[in-house]
Order: sequence, then C-alpha cells, then structure tokens
Amino acid sequence: MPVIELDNLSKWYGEVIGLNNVTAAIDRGITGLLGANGAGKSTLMSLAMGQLRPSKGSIRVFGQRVWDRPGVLSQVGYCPEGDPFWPNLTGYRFVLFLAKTSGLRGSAAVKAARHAIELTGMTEHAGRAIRGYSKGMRQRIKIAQTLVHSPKLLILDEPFTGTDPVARHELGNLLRELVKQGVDILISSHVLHEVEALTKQILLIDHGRIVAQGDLQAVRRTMRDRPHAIRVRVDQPRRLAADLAALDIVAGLKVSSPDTLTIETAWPERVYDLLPNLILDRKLSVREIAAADESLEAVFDYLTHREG
Amino acid sequence: MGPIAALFGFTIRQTLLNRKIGLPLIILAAPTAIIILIRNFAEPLPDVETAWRAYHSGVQFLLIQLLIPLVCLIYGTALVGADVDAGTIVYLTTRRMRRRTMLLVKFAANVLVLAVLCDLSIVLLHACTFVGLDLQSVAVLSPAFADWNPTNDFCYYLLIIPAGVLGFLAVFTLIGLLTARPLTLSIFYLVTVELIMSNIPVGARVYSVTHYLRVTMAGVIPELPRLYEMPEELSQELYSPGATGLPELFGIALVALALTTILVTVRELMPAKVARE
Repeated sequence: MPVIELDNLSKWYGEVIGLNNVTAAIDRGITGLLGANGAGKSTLMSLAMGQLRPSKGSIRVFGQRVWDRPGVLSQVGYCPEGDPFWPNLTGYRFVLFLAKTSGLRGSAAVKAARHAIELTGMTEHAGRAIRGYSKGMRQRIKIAQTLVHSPKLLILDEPFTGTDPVARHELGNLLRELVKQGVDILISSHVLHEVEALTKQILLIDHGRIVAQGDLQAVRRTMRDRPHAIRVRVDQPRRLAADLAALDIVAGLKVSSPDTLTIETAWPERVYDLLPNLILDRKLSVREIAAADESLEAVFDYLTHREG
Repeated sequence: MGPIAALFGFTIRQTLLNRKIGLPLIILAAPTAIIILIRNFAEPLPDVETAWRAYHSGVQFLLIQLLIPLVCLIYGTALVGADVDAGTIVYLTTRRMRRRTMLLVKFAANVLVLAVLCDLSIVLLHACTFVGLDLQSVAVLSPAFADWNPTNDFCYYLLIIPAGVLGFLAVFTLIGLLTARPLTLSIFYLVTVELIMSNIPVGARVYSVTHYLRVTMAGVIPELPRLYEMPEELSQELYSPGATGLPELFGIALVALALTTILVTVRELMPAKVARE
C-alpha cells in the first residue's frame, strides 16, 4: 500500500490554483518532492498533514483521510517550512512540549526529547532560547521535533534551507539511517542536488501539476541538454576556473564577483564530485557551493516546454 | 490526559511569560491607580455612601464594563489567531489531539489566567480603597449604609467576575475566528453591545454579557442598581434581590464556544501568506 495517495487532488485559493488534479502514489522509502517556489510543494504537504482541505479529490495517508484525525497525524512527523516557533522557548522546552502533546509522559518524554535533540546535533544549544538561534539551528530543532515521537512517516518541507554543508551532510545521513529503520520520508526542495543526494525517487511539480514522477535518472536524462549552474564562493575564483576550464564536462565559467565563480555544466553531479578534490589540492578557502539556478524554474520551464 | 495537561500547562506558562502581559496588567491596575490618586490628592471620602459609590463605580463601570472585556478582547481574539499568525498552530493540530480539544484546552487555560488576574485586580482595588479608612467614624453621616460590610461585596465580586471572564472570552474567541479582521469586529461589539446596548433600557441589552453580570451582582448586592441611575420601576423589573443571570451568561458562553469549536474543526488554520505559498 502506498504511504500517501493523491486522487484527483486539487486545491484552489480563490482563483489561484495550488494543486491541479493531481493523482499519484508515494511509496515507501524516501521520495523527493521537487519544484520551484510556488509550484505547489507546500500545498501538497499541508494537505497531507490535514492543514488544508482539498477543493476536489482526496488525499490519504496510510490509507486514511487526514483532516482532524489525530490517530493518523500522530504517526507522522512534520517539519513545516518557514520559522514557526514560540521564540521565548528554549530548544529543549520546544521539543519536550511537542513530545508531551504527542502522548509521551514524564521521563519517557524527557528521554525522547533529549534523544531527538542529540540526533540533530543540537544538544549544545538546547538550553538557549530559540529567538537566538541561527537559521540552520532553527531548521535542526524543527527536525528534532519531527523525530521526537518516533513517527512512521516524515514530511519535511525544505528542511535543508539555511543549513551549512556539514549539517546538511549529517542530516542526510540521519535521514538515510531512519529509512533503514523503516521510516518513510517525503522531502521537498527546490534544489535538485540536495534531493539527489538522498533518493532517486522524485515527484517533480510545477504550477500545481506533476510534470515528472519516478526515477530521478530518467528525469535527468530528459533534460541532459540543458546546462545547470553551480555557484562557488571561493577566495581565488580565477585559479579554480583555470582548473575547471580544462574539463570537458564544464560548458561555461563566469567570475561574477571577486569571490564568486559560476560553473555551467550538463553534468552537475560529476562537477559536485570533482570540486572537493580540486579545492583541497589547491588549498582554496570555500565559503559556499550551491546550485545557482536554485529555483529550478528553468528546468520546469524546459520540461513544460518539452511536454507542450 | 497527557497531551491535554501538557497543552494546558504550556498555555498558562506562555500567557504569563509573554512580554505582552504588561498591557493587560496595566489595564487591570487602572482602577486601583485611580483610587490611589483620589485618596492621596482629593478630599478624604466624607461618608460611607461616597466610599460605597467610589468602590462600586470602579468595579462596575471601569472593571466589569470596560477593562475586563478589553483584556478578554485582547486574549480572546488571539487565542487561536496568535498561533495561526505565527504558524505554530501546525504543531498543535498535528499532534495527538483533536482541533476542538486543542481549542477548549487553550480556552480553559486562558479563563483560569484571566480570572486570577481580574480577581487580583479586585483585591488590589479593595485594599487600596479601604485600607486605613475608618468606616465606623463616617458611618454616622450615612445611616443608610451603617451596616455596609465591604468584605461581603468583595467576596461576591471575587466569585462572579470569573463567570464574566468566561462569557467575554468565549464571545471574543468566537469573533477571533469569524473574520480576518477580528480586532475591528471585536471593538465594534465591545462598544455597541457591551458599552451602549447594556446601558440603555431596551430589550437588546439581553444580548450583552454585562447585563447578566449585573443581574447576578444585583441579586446578591441589592443596593447596586442605585449606581445605574435608571427609573425605579425599570430597575425593579430588571434587577431583583436573589435573582441570577448566570444560567443565561453560561448559555451565551456555551453557544459561543460551540460555534467556535465548529469553526476550528472545519476551517483551515493557516496564515494567508503560507496558504498561498
């Protein structure tokens, strides 16, 4: 049985379409929900968490409807997008409170909260008020609360936003470990590479419609001829550019500011594999490696165009 | 009971520790401040009747008719709305608790906190009015009030005011979920229904919480209608010793809460900007 089933699901906000007649089944394991900002990812996740009502069709989680059904919802850990917090609470109090509202009591709640905080690497900061947290710390404490009640399914809306590469790597490992333990995950992102590192199973959504579904490699093959842009913030961008220029997988290079190099390539995964070694060999100081066309809007335009 | 007790305790803690609590505290301390000013800068209270009028006017016209509803307006409209605006409602509606349970637990916690704060306001007002005032020495000037025992009235107020908090908070919680601009509608309701309609001799007063509070208070403090300065006949018709408006007041609260639970169950509780991504 699929973990989440969408059956002719539509959601309208007045005249604005959030989701348009979507039918899909999300299976076990990790599924990446990809789409540009405003594509309908958060709408889909909010519908799955019973925060929004379908305008048409239905959505089922573990075979059950979700609206005001604590029995189903308590089996799901939800990491909403944005910064929904009670800012005066400490990270520990926040996670502990949500452990208790999930039905855990006394020492079991305390133990679960501490464990979830430890899993997300927040033990050191758990005693501080959330209002003083960085964006990355906020993301991590949000993920801690999704794990605290040992849910069967995680629905994570842009969980990597604002996290540094180390935290991203650690969270990725944590999610992979959870899948091994039998937890299913639906994770959204507008950055293809983030999801690619976790799963090959994707749902690509654009303007409320599913434009591609299934194995990521198959989807990528359909857009192989479109270059991707990777932004590297480094202390010596020209030196790195000189090394990259020799590679045939690089379609273009641009030093867009004194510390920023933009790489165009049709093989982003190979460039991502190569970059760490090049940087280490040249002893360069890197501040950021990220997809420059983060929104992926160009990709969706491309796919939509191909379909039309 | 675990999730319910957790939310109840959490709501009380959040209400008390929130920086915004300063405003209701100032509002509820206003009558006491006025009494302190009067006692320090005006003529001494000449007789018991004046003391009686000053005390009951402070409670009736300032606290019960204006300031307690105002505090309930602030908390009622934000009871669910504050979590919706902050996005934190998502944590409360995806846990082991139905939406209506979440609403009722938050409501009960707020009633408790506000009832305690309002009673505390009465305690302060009472203390500042009567501490150091020798009622016996001025009683000879007001023989009709010679037997007046302020402590009795004080105790009645302590018991009745929580019922008022319940009624006002239920109404403003409902308004908070009815519209996208609850503050405007709440102020409109406060002014037209609780301030104007409850003071004019027309049948429409029966829609106000204030009216039933007055009926109840006049039932246990029979001299109270003198304050309202209405024709004797009407006063006798509306307020009679031993009468109570509590069943009607609880009825209003019950209907408002029932409607609010329906709204909270069927409505999407999402901040507009998130809902539209």
